[in-house]
Amino acid sequence: MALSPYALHAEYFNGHTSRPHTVRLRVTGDRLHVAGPGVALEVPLRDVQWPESTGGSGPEAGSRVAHLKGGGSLHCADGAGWDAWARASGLSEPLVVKLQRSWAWTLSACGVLVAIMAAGYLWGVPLAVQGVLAFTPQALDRSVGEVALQSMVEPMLAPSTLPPAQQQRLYAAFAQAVQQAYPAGERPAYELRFHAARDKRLGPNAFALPGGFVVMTDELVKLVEGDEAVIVGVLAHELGHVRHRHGMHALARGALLTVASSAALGDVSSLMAALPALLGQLGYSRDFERQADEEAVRVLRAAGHSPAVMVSFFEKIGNVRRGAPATDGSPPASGSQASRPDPAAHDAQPESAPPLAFSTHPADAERIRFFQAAARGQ
Amino acid sequence: MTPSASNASGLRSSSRSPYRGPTQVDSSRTQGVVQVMGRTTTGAGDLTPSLRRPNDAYQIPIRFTGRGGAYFRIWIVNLLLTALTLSLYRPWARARTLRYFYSHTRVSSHPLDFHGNPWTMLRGHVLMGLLLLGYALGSDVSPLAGAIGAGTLVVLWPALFRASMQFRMANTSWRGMRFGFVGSLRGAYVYFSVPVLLVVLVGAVAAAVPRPQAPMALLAGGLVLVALVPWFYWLLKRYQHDHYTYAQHKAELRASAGSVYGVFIRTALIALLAAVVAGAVVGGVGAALGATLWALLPNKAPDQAPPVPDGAMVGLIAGVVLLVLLLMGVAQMLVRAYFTAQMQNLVWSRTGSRVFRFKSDMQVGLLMRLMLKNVVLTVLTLGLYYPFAKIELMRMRLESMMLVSRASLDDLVNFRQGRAGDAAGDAAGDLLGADFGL
Repeated sequence: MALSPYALHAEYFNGHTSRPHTVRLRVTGDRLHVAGPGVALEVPLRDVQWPESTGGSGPEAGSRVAHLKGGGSLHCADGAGWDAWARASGLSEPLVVKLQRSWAWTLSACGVLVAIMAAGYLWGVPLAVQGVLAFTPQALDRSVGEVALQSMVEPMLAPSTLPPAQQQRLYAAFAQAVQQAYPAGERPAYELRFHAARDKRLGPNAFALPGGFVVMTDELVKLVEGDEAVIVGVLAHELGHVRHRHGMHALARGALLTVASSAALGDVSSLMAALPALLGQLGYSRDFERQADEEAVRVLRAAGHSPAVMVSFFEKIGNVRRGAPATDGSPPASGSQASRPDPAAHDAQPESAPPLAFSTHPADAERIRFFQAAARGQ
Repeated sequence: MTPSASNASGLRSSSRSPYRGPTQVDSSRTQGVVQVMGRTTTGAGDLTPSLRRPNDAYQIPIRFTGRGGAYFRIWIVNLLLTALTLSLYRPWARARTLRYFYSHTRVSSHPLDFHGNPWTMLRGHVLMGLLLLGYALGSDVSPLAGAIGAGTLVVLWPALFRASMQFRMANTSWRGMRFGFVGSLRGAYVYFSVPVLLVVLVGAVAAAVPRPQAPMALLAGGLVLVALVPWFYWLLKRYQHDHYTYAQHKAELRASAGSVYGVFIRTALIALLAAVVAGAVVGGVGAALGATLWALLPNKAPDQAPPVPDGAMVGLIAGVVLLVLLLMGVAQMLVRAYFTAQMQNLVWSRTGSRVFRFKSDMQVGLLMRLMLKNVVLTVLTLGLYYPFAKIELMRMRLESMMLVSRASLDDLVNFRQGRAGDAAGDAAGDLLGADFGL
């Protein structure tokens, strides 16, 4: 039973005037007794909104104000004194307050916070995104893709300069490969387009947008000298992104990260809250690339080509990124005096291309090994 | 305590009294709050406080006793629990933060207090979350959905703003008596739709102008809107400060639109000056750097492609970029410090009633030094200094203010019946528990 061993001196305000009354507080059983000249109250403990302690002593402890249900309030200028009296009287305090009062608990809370945020980013977000996507109809993908394509056409893509006959051949070759690779019910719908890169920084490239828009630049076709096997392979890789809705996944992840981080970190500056979302937008993850590569292998095999054609293509793209003349595989010119610098190759820095673009993902050794192993039939 | 006739007449003669403007209160606006005008009111006999003369009034300092260390602990626990609960803990975090700050704000040795119920605030929090989510997702789906989301927010904003002010004020008390906010819903929509309508009007006019003059029209429209920003700001401050109530007193903002324009114009001039100085410094350094780079180039044939910069040059360029960023940061902080200090001084020094007024005397130089220190330390500690910075800033803002009262503080009486006011609005305040930290 709660019982005050001693009475606490406080001030009582009745809520109608600003004049304080000196009173003494006592707790007996489940009631608070407030007594003083002209004041005599008995209030059930649950009708009191108790103040919370933030620790400290002396003036650092601040003051305490308790609100009574009838509208009055009790003020105590000596916060530490109130805390001691409340503890001695048997009043409990919420767990959170106990946490807030101690440096040891707070600092370990820091560590827990960091661990939780890391876990949420690594596992929580992908799970949530999958959940969101399960509820998103495929028709939405197409409208998102259309909007994205429209926004890219003006700054980055110009009408294709490839001869129409070549475009037709490539359309047909890819359509046939897709038909052979996927049974009738499973065939992903796509819309293949060729564009010239208006912005030199896009260079030889290919990317896929949600809803099935697959875009390949003329520069890439020229880079591989129209080799149908390689083009089919790259297009199949992009089709893999379409089939698995990776674009929508990345979009949902970005939106979710923005919402979650601003909700969780709302107290901190908005820039820090936006950082996780920005970081999360660094394009597809390794898993997505692996999935898309698997689709590329599948389609290439069905069309009768060896997956090894992609290996030589990666090497060509790698040379382009390093700034060498693209037509032969000679090593890039050394030092600062290129004898005949190729302006297109030198400027083909893919960093400003969209994160979904093919060229932003370095063809690292692991991907090359994957295609070589696939070529050997494993 | 008798109402003195000389008091009343002294007030009405605007040449002597610092209080210009109406001393009568339109009772339809205050709806239940009765301003004591030298006559008794219902109930308790003669409760008119005796008022001192304005230049003899009580000067009551405001003290802030908060400490960064204690608030840091609250802040960290708030972050942890808010992240854990995906922001559902936010209302409790806000309530605890407000309670800490208010309970350490002492006016004549009695603290303020916040007693909002976090469960009520949760309702408002969830509502705002849904609205913002709808807007964010809508704009990803299609332009129309985004427009609908944004439109909903814009249409609801004045009501939400008013509800938030009501909630905050009604749940704040000093010496046991609650504050209040008596702005009407109609007033909120009038004050807020003026800017919106003007923007729409300017946009429509610019769109109606024929093609060749379209850019000029847009530019002119933009300039008009920029020129009106101080006026919008003044309207907002008037809506807020004209409707604060405490006990039987209602505040008024006696600053004119012209004085607000003055602050904005002076701030713009300072920004211009800072930009010119920064530009001169950067220009000078840039010219020196350019000369150095040019001297370092191995050969200067014009048809050569620019050489790939090597380490030293990268260092020089990085140094210049850093200097530019630093100068921009300092200039921006100077402008912000100037604006904050001047606006707080203007707005609060002209807020008051017949009995109470505030005085604000923030020094721009001190504020700027504090802001610089806060930013540097926050960056160095990767954000951990933020709670300390917030406490120090609050201390400077509060302790540069003072309350000037013609009545003895023990003599205030609250005539309001419970939480009177616009009933629907109060319900909205309570229903939404909206609190946006405005």
